[in-house]
Amino acid sequence: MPLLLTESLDRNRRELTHQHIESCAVCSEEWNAYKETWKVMAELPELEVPARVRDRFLASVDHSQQIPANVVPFQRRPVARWLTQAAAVVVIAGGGYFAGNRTNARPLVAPTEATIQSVQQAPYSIAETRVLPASQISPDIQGRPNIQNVQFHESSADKVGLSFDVTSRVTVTGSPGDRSMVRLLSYVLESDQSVTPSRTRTIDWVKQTYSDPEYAEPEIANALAKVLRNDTHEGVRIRAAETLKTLTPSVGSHTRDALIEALKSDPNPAVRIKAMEALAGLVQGGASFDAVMVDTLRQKAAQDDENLYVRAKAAEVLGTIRRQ
Amino acid sequence: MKRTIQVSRYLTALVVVATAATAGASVIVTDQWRNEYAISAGGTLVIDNTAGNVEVVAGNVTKIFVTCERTIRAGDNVVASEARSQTQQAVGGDEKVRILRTVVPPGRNARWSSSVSYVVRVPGNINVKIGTEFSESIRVSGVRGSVAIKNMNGSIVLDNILGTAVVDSTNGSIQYLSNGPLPANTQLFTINGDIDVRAGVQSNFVWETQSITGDVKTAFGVHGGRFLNPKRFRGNVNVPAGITLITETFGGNVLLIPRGADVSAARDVRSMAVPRIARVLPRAGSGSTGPQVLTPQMISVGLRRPSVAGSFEYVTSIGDIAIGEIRGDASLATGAGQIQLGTVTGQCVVKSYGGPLTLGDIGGELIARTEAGDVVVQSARRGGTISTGGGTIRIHYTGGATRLVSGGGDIVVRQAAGQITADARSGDISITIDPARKTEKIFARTLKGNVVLNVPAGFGADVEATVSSADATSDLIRTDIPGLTIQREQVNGKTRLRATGKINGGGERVELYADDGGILINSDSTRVSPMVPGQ
Amino acid sequence: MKHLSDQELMRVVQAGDYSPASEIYDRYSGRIYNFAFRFLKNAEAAEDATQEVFVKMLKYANQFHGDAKLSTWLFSITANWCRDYLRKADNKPKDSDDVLLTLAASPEYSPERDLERREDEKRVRGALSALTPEQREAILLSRYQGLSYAEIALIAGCSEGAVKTRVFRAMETLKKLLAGDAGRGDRCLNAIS
Repeated sequence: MPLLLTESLDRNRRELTHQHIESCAVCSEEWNAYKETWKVMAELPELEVPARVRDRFLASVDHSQQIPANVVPFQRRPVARWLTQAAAVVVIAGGGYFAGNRTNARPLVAPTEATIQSVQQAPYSIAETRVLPASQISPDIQGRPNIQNVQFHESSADKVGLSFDVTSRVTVTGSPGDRSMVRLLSYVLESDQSVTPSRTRTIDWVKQTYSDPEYAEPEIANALAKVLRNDTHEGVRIRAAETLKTLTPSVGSHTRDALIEALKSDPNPAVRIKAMEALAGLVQGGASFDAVMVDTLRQKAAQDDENLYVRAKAAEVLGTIRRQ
Repeated sequence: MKRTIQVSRYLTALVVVATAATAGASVIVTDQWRNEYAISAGGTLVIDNTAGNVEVVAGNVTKIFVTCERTIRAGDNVVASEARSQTQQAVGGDEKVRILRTVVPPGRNARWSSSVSYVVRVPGNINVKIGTEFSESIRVSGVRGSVAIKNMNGSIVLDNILGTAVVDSTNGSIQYLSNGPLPANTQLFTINGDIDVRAGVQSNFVWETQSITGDVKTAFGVHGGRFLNPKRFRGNVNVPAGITLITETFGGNVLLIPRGADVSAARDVRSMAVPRIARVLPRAGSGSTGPQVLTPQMISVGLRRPSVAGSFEYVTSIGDIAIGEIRGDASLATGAGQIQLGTVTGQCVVKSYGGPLTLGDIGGELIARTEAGDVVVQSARRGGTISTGGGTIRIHYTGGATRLVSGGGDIVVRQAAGQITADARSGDISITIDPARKTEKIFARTLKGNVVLNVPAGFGADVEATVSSADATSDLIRTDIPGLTIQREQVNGKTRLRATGKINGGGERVELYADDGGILINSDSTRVSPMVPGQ
Repeated sequence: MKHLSDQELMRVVQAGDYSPASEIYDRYSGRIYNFAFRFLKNAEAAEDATQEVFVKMLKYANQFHGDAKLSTWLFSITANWCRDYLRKADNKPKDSDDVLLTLAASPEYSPERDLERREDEKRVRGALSALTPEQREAILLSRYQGLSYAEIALIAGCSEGAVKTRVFRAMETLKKLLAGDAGRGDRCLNAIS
């Protein structure tokens, strides 16, 4: 039992132990007791750190003394430029570097037996930054890369540092169901500094690709819900609500709440209509009514100053409520 | 406070098990119990029942006598037993407020369903509050105190209630019956059901009523009636003495007649109201732009016709309009609903306060507006003005000067054979010029989105394309046509890119603006198959 | 800042720029505070611990070499601070029933459920205080903060085997106190482990 509890058993022995537990009343009782203990322990709630602690800590940090005068203030990069790779590079890196281009011959080294314990393929991160010594960078700068947000560092008497953002194009391919693809799309949708073409193109593409129930993805629906809640332009919100209508199998409670909120309070009647249509689609798809949805629909149907089309749709949806 | 079912000396446990003959069929279990509770004069009985009928009858008693019948539907006896244990009645409160509540687990259970019906005999001098979700009927009669009922589905009948009555239903129909004059303030509200009120002919009250899509009729002599808004009517019955009757439904009908009167004697309240002045669209071809006097008869429900010979005008406060062909001018308006037209040979004016517009082949000038909804037009041969407060505008062919405005949403013109002015508050604008056009005046502006202009080979124009963005790069204006130069400047913290120049030797002015977006000018418009209007 | 990794943020700090301080604080203060509070059972001390840990992080940033995780390093600082705090004569762990627990709003909130949770929480707090400081440190870092035994060994300054023993002993004590009578009885002679 101690070895099992402290994950000290290999897979086979762990399996055998569990099999034994299942067949032995004494061990089963003991194991259940440990499980029960852990269940109670897990009820311990996560506490929130009082805000004053943060204030006190930040007040004790003297920013003005720490930022050297020759450092250009960090410009916030547009988040949506996920094609951009931030590189804290000592010397300007050219495109040729990534192709592994070298101009000097490498010195020959006698081969020795590798003693690799374990190799893990690190997943590629689109937010990855690189720190590279100048000696490993090709001096050829090919392709005229776009350099922005330059910063200078002096780390010691004989070394300088140059940091910058450089644009490079990244193409990600995969199935619509790949976790990383879904995550990437959600990120583009949610990025509040997204250049519009990216975001609206993404919404259209999501509509085409994820309307297939096979690719139902709550994460995408949630990202669209955030757009519906937060985007300041009604055209984008209309598109988001319209797309949510086609994604109804993916829609969870957060997304439904966003649709209800849009129906209640979006200033544009077209957005409210689309939100209503998306909610109606949910109901037709078999989603259950809850009190909040019913109350919202009732309120809309009865609201004298609401667009009459929205009211009529609300009454129509309410009329479909039957006991399930 | 929740308690399990009480057992009293009146308990009758009657269990009926009915099993259907076929294998796998459901089991129906019914059991009954009775209880009695004390209640003080002026006290309140509260019944909170998820599913099941409720009947409350006032009589010559001093206590509350409750008979409940629980019905379980389940797949088998085991599940039925589970359902019984989970469908309980909780009794709470005291003599002042007695609460009877049916307690079931929240959410829908796929394996069983249950309902509890209540038949309650009460003293007359109490108040009653009932809340249910699904019931076939709720009935309260003879109560001298106030009555308040809220339900989702199921009919509601109030019979000779002497106190105030407030009913709030979603889909249920409401019937209020009084042998004598309407005794107290009464509010009857339902979204989709009908309301039927029958009171003594000597009743005196103010009546305020509304039905958005249905009829409102009465056989009472109503005087001083007027419409407070296009749908809400207010009038006096006899000599109002402080009592108000409010009857409101969205989709149902309202009927108010003296008890015992013939329903056929009821008249539409619209005939009793002072005529309103309403603003409608100018009559097609009349040149008049002033308001027209509308008599209420002109306001009716939706319309569906295959064709109309000659010019046609129609206004409805709510309802869809669908007409296959109008051989003349058309002037159509709906307060809420969609408008679908096939062919209009003359001028066409359509307006909806909410709802999509789907128009086919319009021979004359087109004026189409919706406050909210998409607009799709197959062919606007003489151009016109098309606008939406929010939604997509999609025009397949336009043959004259056309103005397009969207409060939020894309604008797409697939074949423009005339001048185009397009304004989108947010959304993309995509315009494809007719392949036969050598030059055309185009103005397209979007405050958030892209502008795409597809022009035929050899199309000449003086181009000014401007993109303004917090983060503009040089590839936000793209074209495969030579002749444009790009300038970059900083204006109010944003980068503005402007591409100007003459393409193919120059021609009419083409102005394109995209805020927070990009501009693309393509020279290959044959990608879009041209639509030749039918001869 | 949000898209930079811990290592990158620390490199900026090591270069003398303290602008990542708030980001690092936001990422780890919750975990540090919760660990310190559960360990010391004192809200005020936990607040002091949290603040001090991040101040030390900045002050001694050059001692972070990037070969271990930043979280491990921060917990190491925290554990040292907490041990020093306890070593002082009058700083014994005490009940903090008066601490305002700011819990996330739950859709299942009800007065009965809230009461149950508070009762459970009190029991767990009592059970944790029955552990030795070493066992408490090991169980909090292992089960609540998800650190590996190797990381805990670095923090506690002992071997991995010692960490596992502390975790197991802690679980045994907690089981006796929280699972009640369940689990008592003879040990199975046939148990493989």
